[in-house]
Amino acid sequence: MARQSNSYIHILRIVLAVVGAAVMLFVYLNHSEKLNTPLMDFFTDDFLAQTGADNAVAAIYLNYRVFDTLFEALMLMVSVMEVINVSWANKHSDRYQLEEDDMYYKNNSELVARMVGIVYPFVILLGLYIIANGHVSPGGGFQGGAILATALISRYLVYPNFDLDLHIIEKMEKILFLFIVLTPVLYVFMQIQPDNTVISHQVYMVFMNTLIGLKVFFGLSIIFYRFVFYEGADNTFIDR
Amino acid sequence: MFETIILITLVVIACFAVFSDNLLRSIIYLGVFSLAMALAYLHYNAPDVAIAEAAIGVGLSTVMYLVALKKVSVYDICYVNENIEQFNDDHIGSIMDSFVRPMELFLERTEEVEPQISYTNHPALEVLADENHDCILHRDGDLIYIYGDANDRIFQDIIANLNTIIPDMKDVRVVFKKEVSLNGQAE
Repeated sequence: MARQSNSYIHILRIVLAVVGAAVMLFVYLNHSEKLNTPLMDFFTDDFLAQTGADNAVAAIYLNYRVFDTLFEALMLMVSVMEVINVSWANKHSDRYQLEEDDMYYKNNSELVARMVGIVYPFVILLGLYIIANGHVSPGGGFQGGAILATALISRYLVYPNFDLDLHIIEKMEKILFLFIVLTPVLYVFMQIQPDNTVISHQVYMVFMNTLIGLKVFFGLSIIFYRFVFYEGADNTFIDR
Repeated sequence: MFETIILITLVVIACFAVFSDNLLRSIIYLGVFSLAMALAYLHYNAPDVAIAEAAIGVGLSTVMYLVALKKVSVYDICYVNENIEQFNDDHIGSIMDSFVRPMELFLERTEEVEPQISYTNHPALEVLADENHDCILHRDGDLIYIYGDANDRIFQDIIANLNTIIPDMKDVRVVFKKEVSLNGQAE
């Protein structure tokens, strides 16, 4: 009996799924409504004068929809906290101490080290450029921060030691997040602006992009270094 | 035209990444895939997304994968029992608690390698000669033979700590692979 009712439910589910798919297809194929583009007009009509950004994307994520940006920043911070506090290595930290760095050097390729050494300053420069010009050209805080983090991570390939204090970096990331929340709340939501001009808005944009870029840089670096130095050891003796 | 080329390239590179035999090559193919993806975004007039894809897909995730690959090593164990016609869960369960689980725990915690277990009922000598396992457990009647390479550091550690890994080791015999090839047969 129980098996029979189970099979009925099973059939019912399939029928519901098929009906739902048919309704979806019908609505999708028969829609005749023509929407205008009110949102696009709102976002793209006069964004330079309203927000001070030449780049419409920056205008949207730093002014029109800055609420989204706050929660994105929060998400990255929560994942960093998760990585640090709920990681597997925490429970076993007594057994897995940091290793001395002498064992790493023999693995390093001379070619990689020299090339990264040459490219390194340019990568940092590119990251800073993308952050500073986020409101003018493509890019912005997140992209620039990711490039800066890549520069720091490529440093690991050349010189894999552990002279960063992750706890200080984590603290700084949290303070930066505080500023990231505070700045748009004061400037955009409460409209405490020194001057309602394009210059003032541009200063706000650059400031916000710098904050976001630094925060992303710290967050990604913490995640990377945490994984590299705490999660599992370097099994250099296995020849594979 | 450009659109067609870039989209076909994406699919081809993705197939390369999935079907490649070498994990290292897969990672490099993934990086190339991200680069082509960034080009595609640029073609669709989304330079912001293209920059994000280039920074994260090509830079960050490639390096992360490379470091992760360097860290994870797989230790390959093969369990051989010639007397079983068809393996099922009961046969595996009989050896699981007494032997395989403690060994897996030892490998994970002390040696920090990923254990990977496979089961077979092919003749043990055939498995020894043809397949390249790191460690072979061979059950013959009541006895369990452990085959391994004497030069393998992990295998040396397993042998050295065998009395802590397995509580009841009356029926366990250790055979080094070199002896097997010298004598032509086990024992």
